Amino acid sequence: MLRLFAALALAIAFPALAQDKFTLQLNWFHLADHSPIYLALKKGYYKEEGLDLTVLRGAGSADSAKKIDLKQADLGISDAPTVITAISKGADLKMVAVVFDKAGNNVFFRKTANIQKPQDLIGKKIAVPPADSHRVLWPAFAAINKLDPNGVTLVNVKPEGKQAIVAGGEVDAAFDLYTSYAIWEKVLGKGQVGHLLWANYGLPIYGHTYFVNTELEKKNPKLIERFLRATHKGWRDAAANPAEAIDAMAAAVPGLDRDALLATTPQIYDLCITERSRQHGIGWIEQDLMQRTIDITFAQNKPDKPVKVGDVFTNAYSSKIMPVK
Amino acid sequence: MASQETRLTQAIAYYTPSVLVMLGLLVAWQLAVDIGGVKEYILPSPIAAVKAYFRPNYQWTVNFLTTLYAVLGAFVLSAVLGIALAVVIVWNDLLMRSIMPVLVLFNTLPKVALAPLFVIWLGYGVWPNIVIGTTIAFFPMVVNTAVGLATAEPEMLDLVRTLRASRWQVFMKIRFPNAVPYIFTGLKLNATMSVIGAIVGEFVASERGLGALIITGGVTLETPSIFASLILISVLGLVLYGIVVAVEHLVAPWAYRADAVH
Repeated sequence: MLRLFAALALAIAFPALAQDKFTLQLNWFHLADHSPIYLALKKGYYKEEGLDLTVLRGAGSADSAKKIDLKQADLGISDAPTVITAISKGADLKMVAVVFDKAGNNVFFRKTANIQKPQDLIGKKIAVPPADSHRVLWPAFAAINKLDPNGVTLVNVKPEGKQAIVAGGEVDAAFDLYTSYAIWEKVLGKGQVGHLLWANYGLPIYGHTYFVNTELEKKNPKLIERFLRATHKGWRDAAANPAEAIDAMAAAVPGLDRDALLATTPQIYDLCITERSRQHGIGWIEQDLMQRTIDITFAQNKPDKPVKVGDVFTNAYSSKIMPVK
Repeated sequence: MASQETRLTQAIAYYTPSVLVMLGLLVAWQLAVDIGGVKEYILPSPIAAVKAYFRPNYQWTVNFLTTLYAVLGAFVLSAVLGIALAVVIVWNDLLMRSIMPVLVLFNTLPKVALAPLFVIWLGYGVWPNIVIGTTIAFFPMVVNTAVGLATAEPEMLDLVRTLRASRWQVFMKIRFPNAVPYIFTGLKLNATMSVIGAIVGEFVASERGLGALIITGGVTLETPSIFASLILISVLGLVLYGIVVAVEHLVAPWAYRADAVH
């Protein structure tokens, strides 16, 4: 009885302990780069911040951007170029942290395709799923490497069909995030996968980012800060122990291939935890790099309305959580 | 002369309500976007959709022709295959009993789910899209034609048999004319389903085509281009349907009923 009174007294004394509902809209179905969120859930980091987190599966970056603009979720994950494009079209969005400090944009092919450098892509047929940023970024990547963007034939293909269409020899290569390496090895065979990471050929831009509706920033900025702190604690722990994070996600989400996901983690932490995260904390956004991301996004098609770098992002809610090591 | 004029006024009176409703819908749509302040990438106004036709980067001619070829290919192939198959199964009862269940079974499969397999087997492009369109459009052709061939009036069949008509003669003079209205019903369904089939194929894998523009527009948030593509697709379907109706008037005027849906 005494204990009950004590609990009641605590609840009255600290009403902040009541959990705030918070919805996270993923960019895609569950991949290894979402596992730190599940590790943070398992370790109770969101609960510590008073957040009752719901994670929604995604259907592409453009869809997530739209959902946050329409306030169907609180915080989303999308490609930076997609968020920037949406802002140029009048969406009220702001990026608050990066997931991928270096974009994983990349091209995969069979080793036998004899592609050594971007110039070798000319004249090739390349599968590119419509639901990712490669299509938007390709003209910029081509320009940086002094290639004619129309020198390759881009083939629309459903995301789940891109490995099969390359394996079948129907196309020569596919644009796909570097983080899918393990899936490619599974389909084409061990030691058979060749790739070019765009970041190594003059395209260092931001990849996936966390972003919110500007209204949430005005109404409840603390909520963003609390979410990022919990999430980045998850990233810190997951980078130190990737398997634990994958297991936490596999336990929460049915139907995942644990080993395939775990195999992609080395590449993911390479791209996400960088010298910048070690200097400023995980998720920190560098203004110059964001400006470059904007420039590349609009290299081919002028924006509907001009986009100022200061309007698209903020570090105000940075968690300052440092990676281990 | 006078009768022609009355026919014209009749036609105007006939179509005025539908045209007014369409115009009303367009105006309401435009006003809703303007007054409601809907963002263009969520729902573009009709004017914004029309403006998309003047942006050369969408390459309308190439994309439209690509889809057109796939639609026409699927339409013709479905018609030829559908009628031929119907003739075969009506000709022979054993074939009817053995093939029909397979056709029905095949028709219950969701073609959208099959399309990715076709891409793996046949690649992508106009030809695979014709095949995908045909799998969707040929079933109503077979069923309608078969019904038309099988339901010739029994009295008529008895009569010509007493006159010692050959099986071929019965087929050409009784069964086939009886089937013509049914064939046109099949063709009308085929016309709209071929359009659906071609777009399904382009959604799965394509270099160009209106379906390719739609998925690209969805990702790059170029929503006006999606609406502009949709308008072209509906026009394509409507024109093909209209051609079938016009040919029906010419070839089988007896089958045409003024009160029928057309």
